[in-house]
Amino acid sequence: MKIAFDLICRLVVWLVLAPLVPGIINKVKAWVAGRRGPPVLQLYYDLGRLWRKGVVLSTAVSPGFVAGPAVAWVALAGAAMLLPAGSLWPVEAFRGDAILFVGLLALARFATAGAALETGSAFEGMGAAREVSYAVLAEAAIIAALLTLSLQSRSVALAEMLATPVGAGAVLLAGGLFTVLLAENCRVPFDDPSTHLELTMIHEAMVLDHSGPPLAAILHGASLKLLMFSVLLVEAVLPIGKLPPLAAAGALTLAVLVIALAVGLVESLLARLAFRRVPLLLTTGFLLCIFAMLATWRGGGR
Amino acid sequence: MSEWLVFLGLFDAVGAGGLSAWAAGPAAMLLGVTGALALACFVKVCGVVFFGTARTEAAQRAHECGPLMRGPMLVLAAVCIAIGLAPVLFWPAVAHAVAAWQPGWAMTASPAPLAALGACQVALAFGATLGAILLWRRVRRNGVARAVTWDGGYATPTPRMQYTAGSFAEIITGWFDWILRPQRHSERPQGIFPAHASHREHTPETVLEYVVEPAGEAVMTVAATVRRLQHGRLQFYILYLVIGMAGLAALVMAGGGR
Repeated sequence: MKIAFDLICRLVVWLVLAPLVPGIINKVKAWVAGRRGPPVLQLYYDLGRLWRKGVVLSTAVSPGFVAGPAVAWVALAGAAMLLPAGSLWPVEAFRGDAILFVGLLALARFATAGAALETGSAFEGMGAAREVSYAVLAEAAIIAALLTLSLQSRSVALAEMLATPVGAGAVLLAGGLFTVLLAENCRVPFDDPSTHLELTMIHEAMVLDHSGPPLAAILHGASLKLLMFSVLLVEAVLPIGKLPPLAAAGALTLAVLVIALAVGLVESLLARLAFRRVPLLLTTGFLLCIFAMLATWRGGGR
Repeated sequence: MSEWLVFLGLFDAVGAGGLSAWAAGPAAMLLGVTGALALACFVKVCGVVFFGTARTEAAQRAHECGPLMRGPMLVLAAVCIAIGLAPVLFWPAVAHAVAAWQPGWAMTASPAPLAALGACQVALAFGATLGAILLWRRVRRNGVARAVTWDGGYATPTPRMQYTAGSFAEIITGWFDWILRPQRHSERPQGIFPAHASHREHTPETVLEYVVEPAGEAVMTVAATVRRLQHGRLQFYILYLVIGMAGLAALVMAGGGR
């Protein structure tokens, strides 16, 4: 009973806090541009509005078009539940849950890209093609990052992997994971979440035909993924697991805010990369993770 | 499941250090890349074959096959789902195969993470089904309007404008064109009022056309040369026997008769 209560509490915290991160990023962007910008809670309002709205479905789609966002959202929520939050809530780790985490991210991607192709739209096909293609390089970087953590902690369970801070390669790993965070969440310089030109979109092009509650599920899932990657980055680099619960909560919140600030600054100061340069940046992220792994190897792990 | 087990093995090998770690690290990363490529491939196949509107008249007339053809596929799919949801039930078969191959590696009890993974998969399947039903009910309650797929304001879209398999895979085939060697046939528009232009791209069966076929041709050439010895003239066969015997005799004499 206690486990079920604990699981529900954790899920609620993840789901409630997730839409805050894009709000903070947008506030940072507005602040850098000298505007007032939308309120930090804007995504909550948007989600509420979308949840009540009617839906326009393409004549080409099957019910799978609505199931896609639901499956993707559940997969992302499941992946979030695997992540520990330092000493705040120790999760029921099992050997190999790190691999399940990667698998769940892939399932979410499959569901979203599959739903995009249901419409038969060239734009959405293009977005889905870009999404799954860039994921090939991002996946290699994530595996390299997980190998680094696994080498450091001598474990394949996320809770133990993230409890042991990476020593020598921490900066390299942070750089690599931050690149992956930007790519996986379709942020500048890989993609521009606020663009309105279909030809330059990746993630946004995939969801052009969604509206109402399914779009709400997609937007909430995207914010959940962003928060998840931020927490993963923080815990991989900082010794959150070693702190007492209150200090861990403070440090985690502060670090996630710093990441949101960094993403906002990157979006304000950089333009989106040309598509032919995207693999180069992703490969750089992958190499940073590899070097972090080699540094950990050299250090001899724990 | 199989990929999860292979990954777990590779991560363990990397953690164990030594020579195997040098092989297991790159193998784990390559497996990750392969998984992502497989995902791209599945999305492409499902998308192009099953989704969207029919591209040809023949495809428009496509209909579901009979239960005798669908049945075996459904059984295979059900077994795949069963393995995913309850891997512990299938572990003895794997353990049995491992014991037959390497008795030293045999494990009778199923590893604990397998049960936990099965529980996670069951929860996920339940959650995904429930989520899809709830979302669909919400959509129905809010009201559904049907309209043409978003076309960016273009008034007369046709099924031919859908993304093709070639376009979908173009980014990845572009990265790997040094292996895949796609062949492009382009006829660019010419003149002020071009009447005709075309672009075709074809990815050959690289391994078949560049490795297996040349090797097969070399074997065929050698075989054709050897075949000339086989012509049906008895006197030449007797000559081969004499040459063979002489060769054997030479071998025996060279070996000193021992």
